[in-house]
Amino acid sequence: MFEFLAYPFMQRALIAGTVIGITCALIGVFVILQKMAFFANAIAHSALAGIAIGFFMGLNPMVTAVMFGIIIAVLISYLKSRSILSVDTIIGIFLPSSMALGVLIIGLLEGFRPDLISYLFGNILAVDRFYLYLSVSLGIIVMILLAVFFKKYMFITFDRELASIHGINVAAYDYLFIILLATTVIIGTRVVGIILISALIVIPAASSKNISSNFTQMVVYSVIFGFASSVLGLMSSYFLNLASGATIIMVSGAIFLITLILRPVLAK
Amino acid sequence: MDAPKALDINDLSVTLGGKRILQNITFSVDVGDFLIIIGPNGSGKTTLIKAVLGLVPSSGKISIFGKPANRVGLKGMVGYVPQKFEFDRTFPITVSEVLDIALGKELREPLKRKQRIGSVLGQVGMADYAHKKIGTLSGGQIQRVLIARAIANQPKIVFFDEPLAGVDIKGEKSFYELIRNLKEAQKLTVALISHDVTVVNLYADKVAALNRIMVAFGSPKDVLITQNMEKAYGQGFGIFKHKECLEKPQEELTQQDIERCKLFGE
Repeated sequence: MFEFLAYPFMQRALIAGTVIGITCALIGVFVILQKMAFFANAIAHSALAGIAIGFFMGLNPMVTAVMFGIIIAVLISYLKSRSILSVDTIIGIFLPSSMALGVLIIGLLEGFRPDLISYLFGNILAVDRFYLYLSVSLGIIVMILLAVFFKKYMFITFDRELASIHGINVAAYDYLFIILLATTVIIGTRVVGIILISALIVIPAASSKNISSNFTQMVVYSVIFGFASSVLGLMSSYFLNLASGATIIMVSGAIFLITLILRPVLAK
Repeated sequence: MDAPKALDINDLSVTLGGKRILQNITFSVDVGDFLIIIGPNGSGKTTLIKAVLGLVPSSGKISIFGKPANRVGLKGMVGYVPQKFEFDRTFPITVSEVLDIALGKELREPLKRKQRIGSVLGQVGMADYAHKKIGTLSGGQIQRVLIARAIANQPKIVFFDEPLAGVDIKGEKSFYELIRNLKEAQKLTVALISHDVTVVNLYADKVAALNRIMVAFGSPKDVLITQNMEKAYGQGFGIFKHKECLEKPQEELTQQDIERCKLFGE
């Protein structure tokens, strides 16, 4: 049954998928509690322009996508604090604009680029060694930083004003958080694609919220659900010959449905 | 050299969105004092506390226990109970976790943190609610948790921004008794915003009457005079005897009535 683990492409997919699944689920807890799901979606869509810039300039598209995603995330955050416009309006401007920029640059590329499609819908089975190292190292950095500043982010998420009075530099931690989020979202696009990545961030945390009676539980369940979605989704896609990214999201959706049904019993 | 004041405000002004909210506010509060800040709606009471806590930009000089009141300077020294604490009631966080995130790093051992949390929750009568989700509590219970959180770090001064909005008379009385006990036991300095002028004589050592400028500052006896109240609240504001004091026979007066009647020597 586990002979598929002998294939190097499957080993790479499992390692990358697991790290991305756990990282997305961990950061997703703060994303949904801070109501930033739309923000995560905007960063994901900016990846198209970042990837296109990479192809256009002959650079690694994942690296340029991460850089571009961070720039867009910081810009949205900066405007959020300085502009009279609401955050959803600002995101509503940046999301389509960065997508449009991506489409324009793709139009300038010579010839047909089938690999671009895999960025839109994800293709974890095609990940190379470079992406594996990139995703694992960035994923681990994000997890370590979130763990180190866990209580501070918990404080900021629950009560920004008091966190500030207690000497926490809320604005600095906000910027760090969006950089971590942008990094997670962009490296995750390789697993499930630009279109589905926000689901990998939101669904495990939302499933966890359904059944958690405290914050620690929410984090632990979210990480378990993220891990389970990636592993079970990947295995199912292999055995049923289905698209891997979409199968991971469907497993995640099924877990959400189960927690929704169990909510009256488990959530106290 | 004189001992530093608990709160020393010198020539404080606040302008927000081009509008002057507070102008040239100067006063100081001694260690262990109970300061009550009064004034009509929009007089800048909340802005004053927010300026002291560094939540709104201001000009002038503010020091707390001799230290400049910036975010770093305030660390661990102040407690704060906001006027309205708006949060997502579906947020899965327990009362105990709410207090734990606000506890300083000085208390490192988990057992000691747990004991401190239990102790302050006991002080506000919420010991049985430590493991309840905060979103499931009533408004009055949440208010008590916020008070517990404000005193959990054993601060030297606590700021209360109209903490009794939506609290019934019984809750109001127990709140003031709790604050009075804390003040005496821990030599706590308290700064409290209140709409209820009647509580001033009962509890305050100092009163600040605001209406964008400092109308009057001093002891309740000196501040609560019709001239000052008219300056703060406008013409027609008077200090009247309570109906109960005039009409009810002495034996029918409730404790609440008696306390109110004591005000202004009734």
